[in-house]
Amino acid sequence: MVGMLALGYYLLSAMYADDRYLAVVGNYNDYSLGLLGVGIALAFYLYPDINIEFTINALALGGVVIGMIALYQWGMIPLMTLNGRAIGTIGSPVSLGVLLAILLPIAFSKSRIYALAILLGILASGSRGALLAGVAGTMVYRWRK
Amino acid sequence: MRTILIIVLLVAAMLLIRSKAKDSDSQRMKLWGSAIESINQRPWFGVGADGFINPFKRNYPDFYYNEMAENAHNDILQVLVTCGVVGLAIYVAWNIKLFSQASGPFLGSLVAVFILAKVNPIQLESLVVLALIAGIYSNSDSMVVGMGGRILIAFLGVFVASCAVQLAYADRLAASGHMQNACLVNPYELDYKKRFLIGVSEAFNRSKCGNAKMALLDIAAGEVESAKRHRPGSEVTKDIVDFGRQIDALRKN
Repeated sequence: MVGMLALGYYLLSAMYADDRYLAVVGNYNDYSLGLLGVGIALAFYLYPDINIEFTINALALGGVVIGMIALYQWGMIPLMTLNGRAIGTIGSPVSLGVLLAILLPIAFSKSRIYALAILLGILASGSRGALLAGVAGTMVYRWRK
Repeated sequence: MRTILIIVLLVAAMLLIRSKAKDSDSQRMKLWGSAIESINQRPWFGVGADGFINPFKRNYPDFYYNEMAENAHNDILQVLVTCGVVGLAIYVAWNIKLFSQASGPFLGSLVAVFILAKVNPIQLESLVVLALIAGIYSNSDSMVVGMGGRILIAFLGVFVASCAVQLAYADRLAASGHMQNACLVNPYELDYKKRFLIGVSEAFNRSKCGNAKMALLDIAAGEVESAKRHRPGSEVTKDIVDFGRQIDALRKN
């Protein structure tokens, strides 16, 4: 209910925005930020019977692959980094750090080797906030387990 | 394994703390300052979703534009600037709901997002997906939508898909250098218009034929009018309108 209220208000805010196109589509080359991205995410609501174990495995393994790609870029292809920071498959070290930090507790719940791969990916992204957030999230998971 | 994890963690922490990130820190301060000014200007309903860049450009017109300026890099400030105090109240309620529902590794992920969102741009859709997964994980049925909701979402999905196809097609046209066609397919994207107008002005300078020059000015004036009509609220439109004034001056000459 609260989620739907938030989405409804977001729609209302987009209608009365200074720049409606920006609110709906997002910035050029970054279209996922606007309502369009929210709409795509909402498509998940069509499938409420997602298998949770499958989801966790997919997220953890996806994180490992992205972390390894980031590490490879950082160590082997300096041209594919931004100021020495790996951009991964996303194109931005900041977004890469955010994604890997979110995936760290999930990967840790499956295997510590997965978590190590993601940790190395965060190191390659050079994001201090992501390291702090990922570790804090993992500690909370362990504490509440 | 545990020892290796701890060693890697310590090395990573040392390397990242020693890294030179003073530039991004000072930029964050500017973004937060601009956000507070913008909140004072429009406190209740904000400037509209994803519109952080517009007040930022107004408050710091000389700031070198980069991607960092598109977001407040703090979720509370971002929501306050774009959706106002009312939006923040809903956002806080939503966060409380999320944290009360989540469990297992998704609770850890939510904590990570909560911390990251204070210094980084967080995309709303990743929060929506996380909310959904957290809801399922906690075996809550509150996330399950009824048939009417599903039909509505299916319509939204078709609309989103058609928008995405149109955007992708316009992007392809722009990438292959067909800027005028890209402007036709997506008349709202000011980046295409800017690139198209730069191309027109280069062709204008190269051309020796008076009639061809007048035709180019007419085409450029049409795109300036289109920018004013389709994106009246954008700060970038002001630059294009300035360009339009130069075109008018050239036409009179």
